[in-house]
Amino acid sequence: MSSNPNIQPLLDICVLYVEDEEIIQTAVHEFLSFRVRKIILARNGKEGLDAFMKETPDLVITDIKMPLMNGIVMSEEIRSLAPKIPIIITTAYNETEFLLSAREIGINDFLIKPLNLNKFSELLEKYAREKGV
Amino acid sequence: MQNPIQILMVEDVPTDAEIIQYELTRSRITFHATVVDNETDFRENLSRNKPDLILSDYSLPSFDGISAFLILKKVRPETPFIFVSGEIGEDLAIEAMKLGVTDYVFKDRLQRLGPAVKRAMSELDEKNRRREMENQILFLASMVESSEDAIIGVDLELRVFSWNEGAMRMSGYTPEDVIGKPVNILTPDEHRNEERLQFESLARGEKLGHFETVRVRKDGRRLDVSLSISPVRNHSSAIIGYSLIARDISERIRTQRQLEELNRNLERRIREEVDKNREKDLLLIRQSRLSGMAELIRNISHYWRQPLNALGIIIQNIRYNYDTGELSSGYIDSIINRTMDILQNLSRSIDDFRIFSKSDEEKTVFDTSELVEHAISFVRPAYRSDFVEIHGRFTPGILISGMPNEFSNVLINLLNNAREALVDRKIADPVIELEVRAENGKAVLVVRDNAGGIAPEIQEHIFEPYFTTREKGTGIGLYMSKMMIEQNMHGYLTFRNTAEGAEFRVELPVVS
Repeated sequence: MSSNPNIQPLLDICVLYVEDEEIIQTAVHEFLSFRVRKIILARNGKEGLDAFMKETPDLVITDIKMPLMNGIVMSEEIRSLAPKIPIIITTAYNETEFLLSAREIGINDFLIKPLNLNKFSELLEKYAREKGV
Repeated sequence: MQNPIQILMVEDVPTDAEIIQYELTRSRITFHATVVDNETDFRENLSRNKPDLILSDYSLPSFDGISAFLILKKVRPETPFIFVSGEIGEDLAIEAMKLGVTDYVFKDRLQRLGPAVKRAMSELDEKNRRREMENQILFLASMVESSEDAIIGVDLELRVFSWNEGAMRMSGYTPEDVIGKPVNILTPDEHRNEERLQFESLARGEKLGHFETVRVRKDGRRLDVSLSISPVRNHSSAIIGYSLIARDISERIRTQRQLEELNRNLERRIREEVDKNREKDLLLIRQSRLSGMAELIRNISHYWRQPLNALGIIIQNIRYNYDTGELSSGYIDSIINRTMDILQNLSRSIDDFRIFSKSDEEKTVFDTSELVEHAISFVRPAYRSDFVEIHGRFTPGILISGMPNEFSNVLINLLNNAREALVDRKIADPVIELEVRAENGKAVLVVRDNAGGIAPEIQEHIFEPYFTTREKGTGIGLYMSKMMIEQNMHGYLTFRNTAEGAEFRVELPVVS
């Protein structure tokens, strides 16, 4: 295997990824495995909250529309537990209203679907830097 | 002179009074007499008894005839006053007559008294009758003048001699314009012959009655009038002229003509209304199809979003796999498989959606539960995006007859109403329950939500076309759904509120 200048080192962060659609979850999980060291998966808001409390992820990435507990409610709960943890939502909505109200809840960033993995990478690097790795 | 004449006598000599009264009786005059000899009694009697006739002596010891007459003239001037006295000389007699005394009879020629009294009374009668006649004439003239109708007097040569205010108002002609002119200046040319014949017929003594015709005003404008012409006769029944009474009926004629035109157009208007209604029905169907399409597009967009998202990530992952040298042949196959799966699913959904919107389909027999589950699979993504859960309990094998897409559209309409209510009212755990089951030999489909139910004041309107409580609602869905179920599928669509929300129920005959 020759050394490839394009191979990027794994970021030393733990990411909690919450998404209920299996086909998406699989594809995004694959992508994350190229970029971060540790990945925790959850299939809905409740699982996500449980996972958050059990492990201690450095970053939360979540979809919004999920059964049992949606992404917004889960984010609010997580915020109340850890006010500083960065939360990124993946959303199909690019309406300003929605984005502004999400900001108010304390969402840090957005990824508009269909996901652009370069942008996704940049966000991962940004929050990894903030953490100090 | 049937009634007894009330006579007031001014006479101081009783025997004279008797003789005078005897003379009156001899002349066959019925009377009742009172005798006074002084001013006070005279005045009192005048006012109290109101005599018809005064017979007075010329001079009395405490009174005199001239004074009595002057008093009478002031108080009751119409009453006849006859002097009955001895010789006084012609000059005095003439003076008295000049004053206005009715007559003068000398006592030594009393035979003149009877005729004098009779003459005086008949003159009085005459005067009264004349005054009454004058009053009547004045009244009639005033009636004519104040009448709103045109009242026209025409002489034997058919020239106008009387023209009331009504005629002036109606025609615009002043009396000066028309008096002396032939009455046919008011008649338009085409009616002149008719008018001439009418007058000839009247002259022969034939009756005319009133009739409707047209006359012309001074300004040339035509007037619809109801006219009656009557001959005016004198005492010997000879015709001395004609009276025309005309009433303006243009208002009534106008109304009549409008009514006729209305009737003529009625048939045409009924036809137009029927066509308009048919158009409205077509519009309704078109609108419902449009709103159905909007729903369809919404459903499609939700259905496609995640698969497209997934495709994007799969493709983008190729770069990472290549960079880390993991782009193996096996991996490439997996990419291909996953991609083709997604694309086939999306492609199939296009066909299915197209079938959904097809309108010219045929009636078939189909399994209710199968169809319902199939329909739900399309809308599930859209419903999930609103956090609405759909729970279903479907009994297989219940066959119904109908157009599958039409039925699916009804189902989706009911589901959408429930979803919209749940979203609008921000229900915490929004759930739609679906059931397909058999009940008493009928196929029953139930759509139940927990959105809180439909308000009582709205309930009776929900199946009406264009009735909606939502700002963007079209109000067509339930009306069309009910039409489809009841008319095309011979079933029932009913609604009731449950403890938690609304429940719609479709009942259909089962095909065995």
